[in-house]
Amino acid sequence: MNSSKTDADTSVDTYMDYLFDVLGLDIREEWRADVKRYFMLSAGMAKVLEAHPLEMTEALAPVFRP
Amino acid sequence: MKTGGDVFPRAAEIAQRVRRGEWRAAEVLQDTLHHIQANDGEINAFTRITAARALREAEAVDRKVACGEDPGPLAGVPFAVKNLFDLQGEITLAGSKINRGDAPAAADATAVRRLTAAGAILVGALNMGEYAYDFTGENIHYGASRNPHDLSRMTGGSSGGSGAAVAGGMVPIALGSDTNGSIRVPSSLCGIFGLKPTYGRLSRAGTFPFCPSLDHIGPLARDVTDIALAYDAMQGADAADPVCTDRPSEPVSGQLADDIAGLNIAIAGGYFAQQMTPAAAQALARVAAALNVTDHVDIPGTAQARAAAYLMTNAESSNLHLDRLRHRAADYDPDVRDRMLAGMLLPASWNIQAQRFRHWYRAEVLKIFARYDLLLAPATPMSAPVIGQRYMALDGEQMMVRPHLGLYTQPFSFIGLPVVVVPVISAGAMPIGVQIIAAPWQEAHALKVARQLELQGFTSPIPPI
Repeated sequence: MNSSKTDADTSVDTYMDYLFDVLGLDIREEWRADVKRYFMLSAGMAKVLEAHPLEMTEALAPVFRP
Repeated sequence: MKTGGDVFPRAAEIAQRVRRGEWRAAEVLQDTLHHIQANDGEINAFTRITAARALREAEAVDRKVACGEDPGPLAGVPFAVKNLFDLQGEITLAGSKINRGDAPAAADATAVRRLTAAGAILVGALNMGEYAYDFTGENIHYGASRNPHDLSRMTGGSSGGSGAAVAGGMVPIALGSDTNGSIRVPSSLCGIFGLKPTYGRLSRAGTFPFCPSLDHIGPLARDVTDIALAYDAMQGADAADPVCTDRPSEPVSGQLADDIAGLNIAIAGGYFAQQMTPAAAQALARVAAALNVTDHVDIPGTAQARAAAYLMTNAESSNLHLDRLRHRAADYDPDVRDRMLAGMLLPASWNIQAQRFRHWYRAEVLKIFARYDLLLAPATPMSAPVIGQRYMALDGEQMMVRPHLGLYTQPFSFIGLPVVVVPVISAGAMPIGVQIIAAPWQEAHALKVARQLELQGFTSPIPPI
């Protein structure tokens, strides 16, 4: 393990490794940093989204009609 | 036929003259092909020229005119499509290397079939960002499409070839797709008009999907009348697209000259007033001043809407590509591959929350449309970045260009609203667009206002190339 990694880095890397293995995706080491960067961007978007609470009754929109 | 030097005529003029027998469709086609041949080497808008098919179609239009038959409202009008539209006998590349191994399409996409039935002449397929996951117009496999106003700059994407082909005067009409802004961003950066209709208004059947719960198609043109002609020709129910509406067609071409004095218009503030460069702010101010609009309205939850659109796109597109990513990951554009791989990691809860938020946000925005007919917002935070530029500074923050160039377009496509982009040109500066947003199914309102702005000079000349 790279000793410069933080615990958070290690957790994300572990999560990525587990899910990619489950999904049958073979990730080259040189792709990892950008994949992680984009995942952290999505995580940031999720944080923005979750800052707005929704009522339990708010419905899904799986097939959206405007 | 003489087209007036380097300025290729608009679709409405071509159709009118072909219908009258003043011009032959086959001559218009030859001029178009020469124009493409002369200019596309530098612009790189086209990935395929369908000359033989185009000649057959043009000759068929000319025969109809000669026989006194109606050749259709778009008689002899050349058009081209983003290469995610199926064209019979052609491979649907969707901007990828991987799809080169696919079988040719058995039939045209519905939109192509309808334009052709209206007399338009398909001349080719256009460059795009790989699998439409792009706001830049760059493509590692086919090269970047180049902005005709400055060949060193981006067209915007993912319908980059569509924006470039129209802005460069090679075709009067092009089709693109728009999931998060892929018609509106190139329209803004290339200085042309673009229409993203209401979600479900135009059939997407026969197009390569990106994120089906957000995918739209629509036209790009240098002229509002041409946008309306193409839009009208493509309307209609289609059982082959599960979200295509069965509402009757609502033609807009006859409404463009209607009075707009009774329309209530406001400027979208809050989220939309942040992160824009002075160029975007000035463009918005010019449009607002031209329309005498002073009201500002804040749309609650817009940062969340943009975030939700981002997450849905990331999750849904990744799911569609799972098998390709398992077997062909190395053949993707690295930026597309890495975003899709990241999308594989999203917890289901994030995507479900995004879908639930979509209902909430739609209800909030519809409350605003009870007071206003139209909203104005910037289309892009800046004019065209330089090709290869990875980061842009917005409000002092360094942001990646590729995922963030559509930060103003994403909230509106998220809830399927119709939007027209109007080009704003300033002397010595690159063009930049402004969005005119309407309530669902009210495309006519936005197009009428766009037409009034066009009459006031909000158009873009074809740059010398």
